[in-house]
Amino acid sequence: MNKLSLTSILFRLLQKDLLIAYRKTSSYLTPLIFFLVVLTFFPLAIGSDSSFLNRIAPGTLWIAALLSSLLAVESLFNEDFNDGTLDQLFISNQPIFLLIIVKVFSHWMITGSPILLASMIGVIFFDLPTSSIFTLLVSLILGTLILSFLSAFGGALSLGKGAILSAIIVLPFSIPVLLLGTAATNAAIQEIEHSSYLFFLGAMLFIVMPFISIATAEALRINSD
Amino acid sequence: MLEVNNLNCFRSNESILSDLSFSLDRGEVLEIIGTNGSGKTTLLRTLLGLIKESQGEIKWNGNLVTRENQILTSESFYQGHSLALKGRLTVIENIYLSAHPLNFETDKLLESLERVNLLNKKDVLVSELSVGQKKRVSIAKWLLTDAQLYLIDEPFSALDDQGHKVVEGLIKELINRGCSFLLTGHRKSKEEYGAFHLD
Repeated sequence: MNKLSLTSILFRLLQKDLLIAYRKTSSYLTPLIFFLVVLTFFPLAIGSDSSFLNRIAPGTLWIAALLSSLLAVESLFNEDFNDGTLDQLFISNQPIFLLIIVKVFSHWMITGSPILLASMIGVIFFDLPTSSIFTLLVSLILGTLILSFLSAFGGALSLGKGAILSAIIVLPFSIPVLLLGTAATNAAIQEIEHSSYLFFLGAMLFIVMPFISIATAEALRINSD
Repeated sequence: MLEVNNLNCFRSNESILSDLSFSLDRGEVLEIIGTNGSGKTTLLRTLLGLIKESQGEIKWNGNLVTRENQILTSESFYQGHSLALKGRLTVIENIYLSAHPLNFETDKLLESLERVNLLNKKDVLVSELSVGQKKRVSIAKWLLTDAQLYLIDEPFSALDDQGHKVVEGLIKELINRGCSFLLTGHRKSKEEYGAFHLD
């Protein structure tokens, strides 16, 4: 019997996670609805002063994105832990950190990408200039990916325990992402130099991706023991 | 083929397995009998390197098994108490997208489902199956792997008489191909397999 190539194994893992999420609507609707509720309630509660909404828009969008991504932390590994899938992944003889990168990427596609689309509604609600849309989107893509990796680490450390514990672990680490993302969007709104913030976020992602994946693998191994 | 010498395993400083030694040759079946909590599942997971707090020597085809060389996991198939099935996937999707990498032709997949009498359920979501039927989905994977050693946790639990016969038939077929089985259970099965008690 021929062995499956690593690419096929990773592709099947991605396909599996996406298919399960597609059939479990709450996995992508819950963070999306939460994000939209926060974005809607802010202008309603604060009023329609356009310049004030402009000033608070980046912070509001980023806090909403951060809290939405935390909502789905528990689902990342707990189901696999409870149904025995995690054991099978560990004995599959594949580089476990690559499997984790794929799982995090699928988690981001399920929870992060709907937030990107919904952020366009935020652009209308907060009356943001169209010139800031590109920066907002790029910063959210990079930032939500980093948040997904951090969530994976939090989820692995609190495997089999509650989502609150993972949130407590993840929140302090997500502060730099929040600050850089907000600063990038703010700078784009004010039409001043903002690419350095995006480069910082990009650099953070490339540092976080391998290191957090290896740390997550080890945390899962210890906690599933 | 598989040789275990003086295996000790601990959980929270409590000894679960103490100085356990046994061997298993090609084409042999060994049943590990024990009550709940006697360490049957722990033994299987320890052999696969899933439990860290263990001491002792495990050899596979004469070579020492370590967490790094993974020589045992690359040639074994593990079916735990939790079957690693996803309720939101159909029977066929669960096998095709199995966490244990399987590579097979579609004909072979359908044939294995027929062997466990689940061909008519191939497009049914696993969440809609009974516990026994879920077990059969997992058993269908036995024929789709080129493993040499099968580590099966309680293979007969939740199965009806027909299911028992299917499992016994598959074990016979696979041992004739030179595969070996390490099974766990609460009591010895009717078949003339080798057995030892953990408690």
